Amino acid sequence: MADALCGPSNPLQNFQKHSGVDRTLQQDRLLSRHGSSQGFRSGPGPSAGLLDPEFEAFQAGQHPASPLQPQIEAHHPFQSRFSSPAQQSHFQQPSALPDWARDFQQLQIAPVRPGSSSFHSPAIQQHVPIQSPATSWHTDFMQNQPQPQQQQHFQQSPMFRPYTNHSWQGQNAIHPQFSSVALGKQRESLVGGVQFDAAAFEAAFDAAQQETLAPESIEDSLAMEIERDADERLEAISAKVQEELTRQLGHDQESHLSNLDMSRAVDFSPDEGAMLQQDSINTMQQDHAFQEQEQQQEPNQKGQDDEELSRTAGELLNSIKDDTSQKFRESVFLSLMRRIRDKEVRVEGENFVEVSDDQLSSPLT
Amino acid sequence: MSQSQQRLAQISSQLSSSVSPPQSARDAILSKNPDDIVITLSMRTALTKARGGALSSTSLEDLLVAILKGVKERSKLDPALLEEIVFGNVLEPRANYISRGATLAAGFPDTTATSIASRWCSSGLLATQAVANQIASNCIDIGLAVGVECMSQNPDDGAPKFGPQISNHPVAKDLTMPMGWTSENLSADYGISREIQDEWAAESSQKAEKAQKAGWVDDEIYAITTTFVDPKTKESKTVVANRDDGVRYGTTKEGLGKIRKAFPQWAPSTTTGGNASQITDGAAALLMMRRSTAEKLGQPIIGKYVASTVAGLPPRIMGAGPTIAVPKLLAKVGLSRDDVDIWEINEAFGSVLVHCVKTLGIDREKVNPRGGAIAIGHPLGCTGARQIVTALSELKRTGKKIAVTSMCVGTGMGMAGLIVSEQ
Amino acid sequence: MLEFRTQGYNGYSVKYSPFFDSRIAVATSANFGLVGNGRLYVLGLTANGIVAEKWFDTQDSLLDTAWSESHENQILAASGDGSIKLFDISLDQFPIQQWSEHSKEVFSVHWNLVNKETFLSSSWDGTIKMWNPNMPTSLVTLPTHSCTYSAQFSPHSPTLLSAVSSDSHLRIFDLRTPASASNHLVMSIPIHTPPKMRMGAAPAMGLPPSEALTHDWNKYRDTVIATGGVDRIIRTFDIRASGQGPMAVLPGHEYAVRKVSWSPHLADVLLSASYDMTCRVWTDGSAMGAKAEPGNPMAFGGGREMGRMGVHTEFATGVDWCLFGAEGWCASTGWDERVLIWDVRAMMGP
Repeated sequence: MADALCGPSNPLQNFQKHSGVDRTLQQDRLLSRHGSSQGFRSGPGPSAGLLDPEFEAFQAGQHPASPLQPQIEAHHPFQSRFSSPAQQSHFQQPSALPDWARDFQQLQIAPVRPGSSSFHSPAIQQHVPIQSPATSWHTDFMQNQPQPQQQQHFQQSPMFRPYTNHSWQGQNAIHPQFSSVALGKQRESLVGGVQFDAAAFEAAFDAAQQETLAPESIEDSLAMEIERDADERLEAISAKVQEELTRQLGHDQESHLSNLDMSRAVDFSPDEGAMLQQDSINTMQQDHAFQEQEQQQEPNQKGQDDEELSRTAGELLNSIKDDTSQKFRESVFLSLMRRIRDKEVRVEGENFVEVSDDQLSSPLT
Repeated sequence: MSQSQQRLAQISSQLSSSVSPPQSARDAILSKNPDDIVITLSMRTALTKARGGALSSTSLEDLLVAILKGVKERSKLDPALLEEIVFGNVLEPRANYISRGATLAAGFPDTTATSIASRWCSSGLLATQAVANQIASNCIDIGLAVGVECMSQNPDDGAPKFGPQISNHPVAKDLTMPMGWTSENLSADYGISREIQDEWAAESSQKAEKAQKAGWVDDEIYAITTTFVDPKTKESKTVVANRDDGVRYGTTKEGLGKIRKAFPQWAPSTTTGGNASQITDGAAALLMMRRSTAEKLGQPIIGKYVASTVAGLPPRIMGAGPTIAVPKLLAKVGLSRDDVDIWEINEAFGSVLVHCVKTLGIDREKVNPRGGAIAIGHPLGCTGARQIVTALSELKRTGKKIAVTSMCVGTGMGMAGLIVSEQ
Repeated sequence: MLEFRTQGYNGYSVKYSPFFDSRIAVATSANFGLVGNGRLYVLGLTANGIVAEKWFDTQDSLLDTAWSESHENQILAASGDGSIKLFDISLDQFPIQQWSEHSKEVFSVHWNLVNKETFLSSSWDGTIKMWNPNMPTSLVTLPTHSCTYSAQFSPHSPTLLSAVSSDSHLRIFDLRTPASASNHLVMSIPIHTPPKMRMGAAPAMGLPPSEALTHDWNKYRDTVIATGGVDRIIRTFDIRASGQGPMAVLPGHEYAVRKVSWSPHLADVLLSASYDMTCRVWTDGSAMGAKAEPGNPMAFGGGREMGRMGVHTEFATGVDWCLFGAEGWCASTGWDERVLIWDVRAMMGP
């Protein structure tokens, strides 16, 4: 069962074991039987298909809770005792082709830029699942141009030097407290590759650089910055970034400090709030929606009994009203219930009898 | 009552559906059982900009002490009952020491154990999972998951220098590449344009603006009073961090369109500072225990942790992580995507957001209803827990029940979690 | 599949004779048992199909039948008017004995399989009664205070008996214990208890109490009982671990489970009949190599459905296994006025 008493075992681990240890392989067999018709797989990689069945189930909007597995272990004791059964079971069949395939055809995210795949030569794919992680990587790797790859890992190309420096500055902009020793260290590690943080900031810094300053002063400013002390440079750039972003995005320049203290302007429509606050109804509504009948005023017990029976029949039908199966629709018992509810039939002595027209004293609704 | 009527009434009650078992996995997941892992406290600090935000001068130690004090204060739980705190964190190399120290400094007894959970952007969810698993397997009864990141204080040095084995491995070598590169790979592979990323990024900001102005996020945030040191003047002042200051009011797609490319060196260069997650500081906390424990202690039950899982994929397109983790999660719990009311898909980049939402085929309306990391920021270790805090608040506000949180993970993974609100 | 039409009468219970594998009894009622009389059919399986060897009409509905274990021609019928009748099938028309102590419908009768001398009845009047067919009055009355749909002697011990009731409890009585205040009651298991959480497994789902309509003792594992009822779930219990909750939880039926019956040949297999108009065969997961059904959130214990028979067109109310001959044959009946005889193996998947 669980691997370790207190380890980070997945609470659904046992559940997963119940769901079938070999399921992935089985599904793989099923999938390969259907063929790689979807066209993402160039061939089964080492981990091919591992998550595909889940994705396909997901895309098909399937509830995995339905019994999908028609295969039963050959060594099941019941089976082994008996000769192999002839008939197909009444199990549900695996679902039809998932609808992401249809989506695939319909989806057109953006115009494909012909020049953009300088290092990804496969055609630009639509938004489809990663069918086989190892495989798609494999494909890309095999098809990658060597030169762009070098560029990716590229460190000292003259073409990129200004950016490298920039990114270094950019990186350090977020750590104003850094000493120059640390900065130096930063520089080395960053030369190995611009990191996530720096890159995003870099964009903003570039924006500040390019858009705020007059074109002819860019170089001047750049030169000045390179000459200045690291910290001071960073202050200047970051301030410009702030300025630029706020200017571009069209809201008033605010000092970050005043941001913190200002009371929030609540611009809130009460109606909207009320609507949004409306709770959804979770409790099951007991809906006794049988047809309303005029109350019989017959004093005798028989009439009352008929009434109660009719009402009970209505309640019964109500509790199965969501069942639309053919069997239930064609059930003789249930049609009797309908007739009793509708007062077409009632109990007379030891039998059910039709209610004849002249005995009707209340209109059927 | 006639005999026939009595008999019929008996048959009728036997057909009644009011005692039927869950007809669907959704019903089963929403049912309440004594061994459910429930969340009794869900809170976070404000998310503030790493450069200049209210928390940007706050050390990890101080941030942790502040939020842990908040947990003590708000949970009304006897601190001695808290057996373990798992801290999700990415960048602080000595987070183990700092978290242990902060736990003691915050006033928890030495009997409260601590540990670290780290898996890049999923660390907050990993911490949540770790606590839940320990409770489920009877290692502990009561645990706290904390997601925290001080990006102002801790540099993201990226990958270390690898030796030849990793450097020469065709897939592993991609680990040296920065996240921006993976974002551009996603854009290139799947044709995700700059325009659409800007459009969705603007929408994230607009949602965050609306949520903030409407006060929706108020019940998520625990305000922290701290010191801010102005980097220029070196002047220090006391500030209150009570607002997600990364939200840029009035953001439009057109405005974002003016921002320069962040990575012109990597085609198609769709990523910018405006359509990528912000660098942010923040922390979030989730107190968890079994339902039976919560009832015994009189703890309010906000929701429950149901399940989580992780899946791996090529590092070069790590941004697609949610597209494999989410289906895997839903298959495990037996839900379909239509059963999910709210999705928190981490907006590491606009390319990630667009790609994951479209690939998963989920309703855009249900995704990040209060904006995501592009608008409010992505404190790396905090996000996984923050998403749950936000989801629980939004589920309460809308009266909905089921949320899935998911994020891509640098180095090539996706993680996803399922929570239920009981508010 | 063989079929017999109980024309005009809706089936409630079917039982193979313990003496002749070609003889089957069916308890039926007119008008679905709501009003009118009942009829006990004695059917024979011949080379020409199923024939009615004899039938007995009764004043009120018949809800269950049980063959005598000691007398090959004698058979009990439980009636909606509270009476229990003993017939001799070599005679016609009238019962040879009748008992009318119950004040409401008698839902089950069951013969003691060990001492073969006594039988039980259970009733809507909230009692279980034990009888000796040679005595005019009951020997013991065991109160449950709840409509008791099914009572059985243990097939392994002559003094142990069990019953399930409308109050969602499985009660075990031991006649060796002094009657005292508890009337031989030794155990009362709430059937709706969720299964015990196991380490590493997701917490199990619980359900509110609901009427239990049927139960059966396992023929090989002498402490194991299966139950079924209105919450549509079949559960198995080990009475040695009564506080642990069910060992197996088998969801799947879409409406109430009206009858469960363990296989006489395999320790882990059972049959069920349901208001969803199907009969299903299950494994409770206790056999080696059994594979559980994936994904059903209610399932517990590794058991699962192995196949189903959906030929009945009204509520299926009775199933019984054939003891002799080819293993796997069984009989079922339902409100569609049919008795069907079929091979369970043919209903299972490849």
